[in-house]
Amino acid sequence: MRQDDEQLWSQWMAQAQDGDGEAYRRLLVAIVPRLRAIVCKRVSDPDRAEDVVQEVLLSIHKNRHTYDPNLPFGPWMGTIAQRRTMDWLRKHYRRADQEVLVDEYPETFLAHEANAAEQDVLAFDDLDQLRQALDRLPSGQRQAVELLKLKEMSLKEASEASGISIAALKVAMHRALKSLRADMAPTAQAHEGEVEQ
Amino acid sequence: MTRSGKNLTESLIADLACDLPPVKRLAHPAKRLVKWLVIALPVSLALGALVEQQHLALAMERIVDPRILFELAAILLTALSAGYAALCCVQPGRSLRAWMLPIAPFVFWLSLVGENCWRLFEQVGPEQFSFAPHWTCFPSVAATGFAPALVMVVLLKRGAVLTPTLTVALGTLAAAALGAVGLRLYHPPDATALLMLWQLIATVTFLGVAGLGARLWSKRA
Repeated sequence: MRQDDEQLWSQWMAQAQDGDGEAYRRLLVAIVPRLRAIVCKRVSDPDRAEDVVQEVLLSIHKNRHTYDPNLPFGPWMGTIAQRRTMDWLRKHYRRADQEVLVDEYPETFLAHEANAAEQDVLAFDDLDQLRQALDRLPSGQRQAVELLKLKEMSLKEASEASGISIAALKVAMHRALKSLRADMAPTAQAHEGEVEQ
Repeated sequence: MTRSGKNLTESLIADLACDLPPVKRLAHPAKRLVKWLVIALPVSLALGALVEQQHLALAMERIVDPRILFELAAILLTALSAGYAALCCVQPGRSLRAWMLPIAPFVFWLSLVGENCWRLFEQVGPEQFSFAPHWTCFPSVAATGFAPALVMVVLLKRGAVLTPTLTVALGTLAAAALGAVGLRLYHPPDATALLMLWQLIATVTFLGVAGLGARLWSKRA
């Protein structure tokens, strides 16, 4: 890290603490490569590393009042990045210990429509359309999808993070999937047609 | 790395920077330590005096005893150094070596407690010497330990708790030591080691409960 960068980042953070959003945006954009370098030392999967970088950004945001502009910015940022990476690794390994990998999803119901995982993959393959469909969902359902599917939280974690009960999350998730299937039905049919051909 | 992952990071940055409210900077740990001392010590001494009213004369005698003053200085130094180290822990970027500060005064305090126990053992003999809990001590322990622990929890929660175990350990030691100042002044002298043990247990319990409550509170907020 160059001395000039360090001073500039320190200055931007001091401005951000005073409520300057533009200085804050410049700072976060500037430090992301550095954060990726810190995180990637311990997390080898690039996609997961990017998740951790986002966690670190959230932590920096939450704790920005703890930065003292009289001190160098690098150690402050580095401490938060390293600690959050270690937290993520601990959580990841704990979860990995409790998971069992299976080649195929077991059939849970007799009805064919209930075992539609493959169809879902096909139907939700178009990311742009999926994003648009997600935007059209009511906020409660969208939050459930974000927590349970995009952030891959367990129901308990999602409930703790959002303050919504597990039962309500299940209902919201169920309704969201139903809405998404209905919303993207034309795409799914088109995919099915392609597969059949 | 997928493009969507990078896009999410970019949109997260845009969200975080949008409508950014100003924040109140965390003061230097030394300033926060003074705040802790100024608020917690008088409350601890006042509550201790309230509970131990019958022993106030004893406190007056003790305060002029050089040996007790020496011991009080060691206790206070432990409280201050542990408190400073705990407050440094919640401000990222400060030296992590601060945790070593309370070691010397704490060891010194323990050695004085050990000497007191040995003297007592010699006086009363093995039959009378006991580490069994005395429930009558509990109100004094709670009264003197309450304010230092509560104020410490509030101060620690204002910072970034990135190393919870170390922070709680240092905060507990600081709160227990500051509470022990009042305890050493007012409480009858026979059981310094036992009282310190009680003090630590009570403070750990209180810090744990307060920390859990704060965690639940922040999750609901």
